[in-house]
Amino acid sequence: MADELAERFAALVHPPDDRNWLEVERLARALRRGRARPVVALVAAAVAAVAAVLATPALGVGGKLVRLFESGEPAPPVVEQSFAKLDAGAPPGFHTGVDPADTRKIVLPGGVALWVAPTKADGFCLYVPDGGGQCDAQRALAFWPTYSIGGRFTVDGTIASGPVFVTGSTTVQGAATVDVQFEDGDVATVPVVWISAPIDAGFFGYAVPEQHWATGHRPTLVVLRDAAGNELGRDTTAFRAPAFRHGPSTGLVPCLFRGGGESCFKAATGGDHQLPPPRGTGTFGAGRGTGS
Amino acid sequence: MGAELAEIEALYRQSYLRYRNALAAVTGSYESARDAVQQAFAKAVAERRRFRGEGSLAAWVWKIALREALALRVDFAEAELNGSLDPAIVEPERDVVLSAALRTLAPRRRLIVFLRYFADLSYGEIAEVVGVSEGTVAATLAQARSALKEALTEGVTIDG
Repeated sequence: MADELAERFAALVHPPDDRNWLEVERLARALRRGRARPVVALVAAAVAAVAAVLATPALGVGGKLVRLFESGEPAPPVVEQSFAKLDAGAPPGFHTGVDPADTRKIVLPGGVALWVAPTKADGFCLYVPDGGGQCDAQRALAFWPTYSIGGRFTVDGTIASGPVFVTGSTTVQGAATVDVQFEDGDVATVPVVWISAPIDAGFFGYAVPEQHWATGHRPTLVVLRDAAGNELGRDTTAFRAPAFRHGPSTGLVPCLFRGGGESCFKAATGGDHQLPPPRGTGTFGAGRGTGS
Repeated sequence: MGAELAEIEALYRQSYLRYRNALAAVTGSYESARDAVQQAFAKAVAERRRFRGEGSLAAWVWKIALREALALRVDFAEAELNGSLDPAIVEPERDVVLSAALRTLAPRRRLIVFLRYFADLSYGEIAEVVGVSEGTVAATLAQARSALKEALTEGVTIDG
């Protein structure tokens, strides 16, 4: 009978192997830094979200925390290769440490899709198909919106075709929504979707409708808010340096252009590169979450 | 004393499925069991200097993992379970006889059976993890075998 008990247990069917030692190491590093939110809390906060995750190949939840790296859709080779290229030809000290094999897809409320990949320094890279992409290799950018134009535009700056996105990330705890404000006074509010470890950051995305492509109606400001509506950060610099349909980038050039100063180097490379003091006010910097 | 990172990684790579499948009986789902395993090994890595070597590394990690699993179960269904340990086969319909036989055991004894047959722990390791004597482990497993034998000969009643 002892054998039969063992045989019956052995005959039970279990789900496939889903071990991930890299994730364990990231969780351990986060624990040592004392900033890890236990998975216990993550799960409690995301019961509804998890149900959605398990039911769909990609994620389509808003204002929730999702366990992307358990159930998210893995990236196709072309996306992995795009991330891998970031470090393939990078000069010494300019490697983002992105882990292309761990790239996952998230579909935000409204249908905007992002590809997200962790970096070795606990940061992350993201890429918006037909939009922009950037890395915050060491979580140096607390609120990092990007304005991207994926279609055609004329020499006089008229946007002739889309998609046009406002997307981005935040590491500001408690961030729940982003207001996208337009030149004509309109405001669109989109939820922040939090992704659990190893990413541990919030993401947002908004496909700008055609009526807001014309001069005088374009997005001009994004405001990060908590669930009670309190402002946590704001940014206008994203709209001074749109991304024009490219794959993932280190984010260094647009970040510098937007006045991010040394934070840009840290965000893009994780290195100790020094830069002269920035001339303008920025919206970057670890722990600030807002600037202007 | 402390444990080496390589030892913990080797244990993880060798035993992940055992941990996950056994903890699923505690948390009620494989998804939450995976969270418990990941978090348990992360804690083991982060706190490996605190491992005193008085028992096996596997048993030390098992204690952490059980705490994580119980916490998850409380979070998932606090009102229903009141935080009590109530391990069960996640999908009982896969073997209703086995499931019914296990239900005749007290929850703590059921855990012993799961640790033996899902986790493949030795009697000594089970005793260390659960905090009972090896004799209790042996008696519990004998009781489980007896319950299964009875279920097989007398049939079972399926609730619901």
